[in-house]
Parts: sequence; C-alpha cells; structure tokens
Amino acid sequence: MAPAPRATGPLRRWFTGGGAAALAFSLPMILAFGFFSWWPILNSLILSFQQTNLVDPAVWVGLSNFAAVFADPLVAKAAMNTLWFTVLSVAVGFPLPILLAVAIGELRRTRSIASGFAYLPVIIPPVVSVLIFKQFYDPSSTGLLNTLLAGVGLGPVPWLQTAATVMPSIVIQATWAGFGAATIIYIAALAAVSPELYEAAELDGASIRSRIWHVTLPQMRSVMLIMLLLQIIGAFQVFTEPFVMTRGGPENNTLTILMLIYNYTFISGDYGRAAALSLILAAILALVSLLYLRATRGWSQGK
Amino acid sequence: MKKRARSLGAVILVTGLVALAGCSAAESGGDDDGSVTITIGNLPSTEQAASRDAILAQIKAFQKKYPDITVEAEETYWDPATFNAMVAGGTMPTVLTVPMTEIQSLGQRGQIADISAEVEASETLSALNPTIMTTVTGPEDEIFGVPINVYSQGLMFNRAIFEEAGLDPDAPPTTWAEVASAAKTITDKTGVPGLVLMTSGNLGGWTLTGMTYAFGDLMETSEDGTPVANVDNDSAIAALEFIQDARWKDNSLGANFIMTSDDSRNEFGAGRAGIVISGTDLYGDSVVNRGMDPQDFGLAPMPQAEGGLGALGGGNVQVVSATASAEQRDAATKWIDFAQIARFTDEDQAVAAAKAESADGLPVGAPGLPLVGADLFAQYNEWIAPYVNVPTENFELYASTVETIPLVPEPSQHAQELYAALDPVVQAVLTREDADIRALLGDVQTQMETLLAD
Amino acid sequence: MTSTERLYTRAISTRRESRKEKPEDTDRSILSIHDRSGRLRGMLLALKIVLLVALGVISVGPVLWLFKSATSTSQDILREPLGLWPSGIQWDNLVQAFTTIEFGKYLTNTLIIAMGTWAFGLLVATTGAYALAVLRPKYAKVLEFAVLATLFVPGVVTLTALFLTVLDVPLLHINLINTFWAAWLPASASAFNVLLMKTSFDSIPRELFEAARIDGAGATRIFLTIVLPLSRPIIGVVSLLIIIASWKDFIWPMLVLPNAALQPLSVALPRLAKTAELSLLMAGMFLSVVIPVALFLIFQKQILRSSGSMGALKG
Repeated sequence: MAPAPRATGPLRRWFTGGGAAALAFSLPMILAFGFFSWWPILNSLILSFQQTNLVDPAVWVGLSNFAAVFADPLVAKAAMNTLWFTVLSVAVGFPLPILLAVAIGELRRTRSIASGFAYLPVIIPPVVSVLIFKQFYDPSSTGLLNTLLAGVGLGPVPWLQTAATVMPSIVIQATWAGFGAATIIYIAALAAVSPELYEAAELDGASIRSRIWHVTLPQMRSVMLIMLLLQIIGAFQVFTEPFVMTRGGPENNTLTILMLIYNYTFISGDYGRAAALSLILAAILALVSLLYLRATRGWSQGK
Repeated sequence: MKKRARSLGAVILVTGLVALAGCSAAESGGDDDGSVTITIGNLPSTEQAASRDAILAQIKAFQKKYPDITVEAEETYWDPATFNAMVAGGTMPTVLTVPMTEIQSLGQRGQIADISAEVEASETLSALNPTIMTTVTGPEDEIFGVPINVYSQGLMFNRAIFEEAGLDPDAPPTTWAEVASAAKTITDKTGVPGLVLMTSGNLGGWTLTGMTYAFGDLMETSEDGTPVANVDNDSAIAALEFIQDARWKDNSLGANFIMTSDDSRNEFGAGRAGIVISGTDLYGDSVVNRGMDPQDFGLAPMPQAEGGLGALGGGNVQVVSATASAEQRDAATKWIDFAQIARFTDEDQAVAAAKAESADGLPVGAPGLPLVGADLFAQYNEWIAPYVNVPTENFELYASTVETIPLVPEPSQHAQELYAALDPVVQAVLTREDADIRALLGDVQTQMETLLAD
Repeated sequence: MTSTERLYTRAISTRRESRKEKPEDTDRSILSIHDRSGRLRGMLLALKIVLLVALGVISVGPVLWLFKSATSTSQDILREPLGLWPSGIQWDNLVQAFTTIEFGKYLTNTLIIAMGTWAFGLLVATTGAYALAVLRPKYAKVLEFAVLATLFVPGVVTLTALFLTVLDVPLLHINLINTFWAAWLPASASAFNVLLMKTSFDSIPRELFEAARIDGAGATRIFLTIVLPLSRPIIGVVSLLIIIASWKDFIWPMLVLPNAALQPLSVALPRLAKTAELSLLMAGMFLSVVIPVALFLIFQKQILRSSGSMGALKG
C-alpha cells in the first residue's frame, strides 16, 4: 500500500479504510467489462430502436423492429426448438458430469488419465469436432456410427435426416463437446469435500449410496445449482452445433433463436431486428434466472 | 493517463492501455499530391505460391503503368459472417471479390459503391458480355461491380459411375425424364446415389430456383419495374414433384438430405454421387481440392423442359467499397480492368496467368462461361492453349450446347431470403413422404409478398 | 511470526495432519480404504475398467479417427472413412502441413493469443473476485449484479457492437484491429471466470483476513500472500478454461485479425479449407488438436495435485 495522501476528513477515512484499495482492485474488472461488455450491450440496445446499414447514419424507428420480430412465423418455431434442445441437453448433460465426477473421484492411480480422457473433447476446436461428427452421422448403412450400430443389431439410424432424430443427434454432439468442462469442475468440488464427513457417515453405518446421497451431493449443492443455471442459459444460446451441422434443417427443425438472430444479421442485414430479438431473448433469460435463483435460494444455503 | 496507480492490477492494466495508445490508427487513401492508395482483397494464401506471386507481379506491372496508384494486397476474402462488421468498421479493402448472388442486396444496402460512371468510361469494361452485366446492374442502372468469372447452373456427373451403370458418359441426360431414369439406373446398378441435391445454406432454394427456370417459370416476375413474388408457380410445383418421385418412388437421391455445397462437393469428389445439380465451375475444386480423377469429371447443361427459360447464372464479382473516394473508385476500376479483364485482350497477361495457374497445379482451360464476346474468347483460348491441362475433349459437348441456353439471372430482390425460405421446402419433400408441395410453396409465397411489399 | 502466519500455517498443518493421522488413507473419498480392500474390490476394478474403456472410446476414438484421416490421401478420407489407410500411411501430410500451409506461423499466433488472453483474463478474474469477495466495497453488490447480468447476453448479440468498440475504443479512440490486443482484451470480460473465482475466495475463512489486517497487512499483501496461494486449484481451472476457450474461439479472431499473418489456427484452417487439399487440412486439424492435448496433459497433473490437497470450490 502506498502511503496515504495528505488529505483530511472523509477522503482520508475512505482511503485508510481500504476504499482506495477496493477501487484499485475493482478497476481492471470495471474497465474490462465497461469497454468490452457493458458498453457493447448498451450499444446493441440502442441499435434495436434503429435501422442502419452501418454505412449511412442510423434512423430511429421506434418499436417497429420488435413488431417485425413478432410478425415472423419462424420465431415461434425457433423458440420451440430452442426449448426442446434445452430440455434434452440439460436432461443428459447435467447429471452425466456429476455421475462421472463421482466415479472418477473414486479412482486412484488412473484418476488423472480418466480426467484427461473426459476433458479431451473440450479441447478440440469446434471446427474440427463438428466435421468429425458430420462424418460419423453419415445416414447410409455404411456410415461410421451406423456400421457400429449394425454390429449390435441396430440401425441404420437417419441421424440428422428426420425431424425426430435430428435434435437428439445434435444434443449428443453438444454433450460430447461439453461434458468434460463440467466434469472437471465437479471433480475439483469433490476434492474439497472433507474426508472427515465420509468417515463420520461410515461410522454411522451409512451405505455407499447414502454416503453419496447425504454427504457428496449436499456438499456439492451450490456448485451444482450454479452449473445447472449456467447450463440452462448456455443451452438457450445454442448456435454453433446446429449452425455448422444442419444449418437449421431439416425443415427448420433445428433452427434456434440465436441462429435466427444470426440470419437477421448476416442474411437479411437487418441489425435492428436482430438486436430486438436479442433483447427479447436476454429478457427471457434474465427472467428464468431470477425465478431460478429465487426458487433455489433456500436450498443452496443448506450446510 | 498519468495517475499514480496504487495496486498491482491497476499498474498492469494502465501499462497495457498506455502501450495500446501507441498503436497506429488506420491510414486513409488519397493524398494531396494526386497519388492514391487502394487495398485489394483475395490475395492467394502462401500455399498457392505461384498464384500469389502472379498477383504480386501484376501489382508491380500495374504500378509501372500507373505510378500515381499504390496497390496494397491482403488475404481478406468475402465471408457473409464478417462482411457487415468489415463494412461497419471501415476495414473492407477497396476491392473485394463477392459472389454474384450477394450483389443486389449489398448494392441496395449501400454497402458497395456504384461504379457505373467508371465502367462506362472504360473501353474494355463497357465491352463485357451484356447478359452477364445484367446480374450486377441495379434497378436504377447502377453498376455494383465487375463480373470476373461466370458459371451457369448445370449437371456435374461422374463419368466413371456412368460407365459402371452402363450409361454413355458422352450422352448425358438432356431431359428431366432422362435425369430421373439415369439416377435410378445408377442407384440400382452401383448403389451410389444417382442424383444429389444441395439442401442447406440457401443452396436448396438456389437449386429449386434453377430447376423452376428450367421448367419454365421465374420465382419473381416484374410489373412496371417492381418485383412480384411468384413462388407458387406451376414450374416450381413440377420441379418439386420431380424431386418427390425421385425420392419416394425411385429412391435414387441417397440418404443424406442435409447437404451444404461443401458436402455435395465432397460426395461428388469421392465418387459417391452420380449427378449433382451445381454450378458448372467446379472442375478445379473437385480435381485439385478433393483429389478426383480429371477423367471422371463430366458436365452437362441444365436440361430444359418444354418452355424452359434457361440456366440460372451465377459467378464472382469484384466490388468497390462504398467508402472509397472518387479517386479510389477510379483507381480500383483501373485495377480490376488490368488484373481481371485485360487478359482477354492482352496476350502477355493471358499467358502469364495461365503459366502461374498451371505451375500451382490449378486447372487451365476448365469449362466455364465466357465473360467476353465469342471472338475475343476464341482468341484468348488460342493464347492459353499450350498451358491447358484439363481433358477438354470431355467438355466439348457441354461447351457447344451452353451457348444455346440463355443465362437467367437470380431474383433481383431478396434472393437470399427467398433461398433461405425454400431450403426447408426442399428438405420437407426429401424427408417427409406426405409433404404438401402446394401448401409449402404457398407459405413461402406469403413470406415473399410481405418482404417485397416493404 | 505474526498471528496471520500462525493462523495460516495452522490451517495448512491441520489439513496435513488430518491426512497424516491415517497415512494409509491419505486420499479417501466416498469409499474408505476398508471398502477398497474389502468386499468392493471387484466392483471397483469393474468400475475402473468400464470407466476407462468407455471414456477412452468416446473421447479418444474421434481423435484417433482424425489421426487416421490426417495420414490418408484425400480420396481415402472421402471414400472410406472407416478404412485403415487403404493407400498406405501418408506421413508426408504432416510435414506438408508445416511447409505448404505454414502451420508453424499460425501455431505461433495461436500461442501468442492464448497466452495474452490468459494473462489479462486471470488479472481481471482474480482482482475482480478479490474486490467482490474479500474487500467488499459498498458498491460490490451492484458491481456483482452488473457482472452477473452479462452472463445472460448471448455473444452473437453484441458481436457487431463489440467489433465497433474494438475498432474505435470509446474515450481512448484507438483502433485495435489487426493487433493482438483485440483478441486479448474482450475475452478478459468473462463473468463466468469472475464468479468462479469469487465462489472460491468466498470459501477462505475470513478470520485469516481479520488476523492479517490486525498484523497490519494491506489489501495487496493479503491478496498476494493469502488469497492467491490458497486458490491455486481454482486459478489452475480458470487458466485452463481461458486457454482452451481462446484456442477454440473462431468468429472473434476472424473479425479482428483480417490480416492472415496474425491469424490463429482456428481462423486459418477454415480459410485454407476453401483452397487447400483435404488431406493437408486434416493434417492441420490433427496437429491443432494434438498440441493443446499435450499441453493439457502437462498442465493437468498440477491441477489435480493441487485440487487433491486443497478445495477448489466449496459446497
């Protein structure tokens, strides 16, 4: 700490009371977010009430961008798809990393290998993994996955080709690409659970299942609640997988809200409408998060 | 920013910002002394050394001819995802190559310059094929760019697979009934999908639009100069019924119905497609990038039904940035003329370009449509004859028939939105046996009416 | 020895002692040493085998397939995705990737971008979380809310606005396009990393800070001597997240680094995909996967070791 400046009164109190230090430590975050997060968000907000081609000066158009969004029949379709993806991907992608982390936590010498395996897909750039999976999802009977399925007497599955199978296929790829990130966080959280708790539970004669149920899961509760929320928010923003794998097909069955925003922006060049839809999405996410946090406030305090 | 920072974080961040302040700002073109600087995009990457060197040599020659103009080349290329940000940020190079499809919407959005005055002032540019020039001409006779290569939609087919199926590769299908029977024969005899259609990334709509032209109708007609949506026409219905029958009666379209252009090129290049409806400029892509045997590559013009209007035309256009000054526009047009068009009138340029391409292993003399009149084009072909490295005998038939089929431009308004709306229609017919063609087209018709009314 | 140091060493030694009490059970988790040697031994072995085999096939399988494609001819990749080198192994592809498509240059750019992103990201996350969790000024609640709120704004939404910001940074009016700053700085505004850090800092016993303050340690010293050393595991995790995200990022560097000489692999590969031969592209993709995997394996040991001895996130 630098010596306090020759000031008196409230300023000095603020300074010696750590006010300056708090501000100095907050500064990098305030600057980073101010420049690269808060200001762009605000700017997008302004864009949603304007029409612009980014070359000529923008024109204020009031709420007409929002009206255009609600007039688009694809918005409802995209919303349903996004919801469906969210339900599927959370149903699969939320419990899987927890189970995996609990299992990996029981390994000793092979723990790092297992964690390494689990994390491997996360490292692979999307460009690469999507290309790989597109090859795997070859719908003909000679496709890679269908050949493997035929080995156990199943298939051929049409994967990305039908309305019924396309979303689960995308969820599989998205889960594959993402489960390792959550697993590694849960493994870190598990390592923080103190062994004494397990010992106590064991002395009480708790079975393994009840040790997991009464010790492990409650100890990880707050991490799990945050991860679930982040997963829901992330799923609502799904873009890369359907965009690269199916372009929203077949028949718009994988068109998501964010893809629609992308289309408004890059196909129609309609930035105002894109910004308006973005705001609507952001508002929905904020609402979902608030309700979620309110509903779980009681649970996460449990110690 | 000379505040004394009081903690680690602030020190580092401030240091960073001070360092940032030292970064240079973007330079502007046009100086006081009559000299002008332009940037050009699409410089080939280093893995195409000879083509890259050819462009750099061209720049040298150009600057010798026009000492007042400085040309700076960069590897920037057109990408729909980044173009708008590029325009907004003012980082668009003065000259960029853009797909023909994009020209009208970019022009209408004011994102590219109208260079009609400069083009009309140039002897070579004003002599370009007028049919082709319509594609870059706006509703008020603005000219939004210079076409630098052109293709028409047609049939790419695999000659080896034709032979394997007992078909004659020198007599490709010329009617839609023949296309259907060839596709069925190929599927039955070889197990390879007989006909592969692109369905995604707007190419489903692009394909259907081209088929609709071939069956005899436009997707957008014009009434007193204003475009009118005409999506639910009889030809579009006939084209979709053709697809429906090939898919559900003959089952000759394969199993993959999410097909981007890259997917279809992969399938074709790997010999997993008999016929593909695509642009006819893909010889190089199939042979060079996908390792196809040059002898297997076959081309046929788009079959025309009774009353067919012709083949949908497309290609690449060099455009000039909307923010370019008058001097830069003039310099940019001179450069486009010098680099792209002069080869048809200047033997040295033609030979140099052909030499470089063949040194890079790129095809020389691959089939395509002439940018210039027939006489000039014949002369150009004589010049480059020694460097031709493609089996031209396989394309003679295509080259002879292509002149009799008119080139029909893409819809002038909202072409991309139309294609985007038609993708799901094509996908529906391919993935659902009970798809209601009329209802699907009716929906798109309504959408387009709304769009065009704006 | 100050009372802080005493407290600190006591905290560490208590942890050590709790493990030393039963040297045979240094690293227990749900199962005790008794379970492991007893009736569950067979089950554990089965769990181990199933887990490793399943994870191996699911995670490593695709990478092996990529390796196979990287060393095949273009025609073999397309015609026989499952065939094992019908035309023989093409090791030359990997060499060609370095010579023909300048893999080395793009790799260097990727590393520069990753390291810079890591430095700035960690700086913002650690100092910000420290301010929110430990120093807690009056405006901390507001600040935290403002940071949290950015989690709900999809990235694509602000893409153009963010680009405009980088093009002409407000107040400073400098252009960051075609500089690495444009790739480094925006990524540092990651709400997720700040909150992850904050959660971890929240779990450090506050008595430690109180004691240190009584000893006259200032905010900076507490940060450097208590908070950072105690948070090594979470710093490792966040570092990993930042570096991996930077390695994978595609749209942003493509926007801000139009100059090919500065582009990272994720941007260069798709660009080259349009012109380079498929087999070379596969080789480039494979190399671009192998390197982070190798880095991760080196890095991972430290993370696991530290998270084995100390809690990263407390429930």
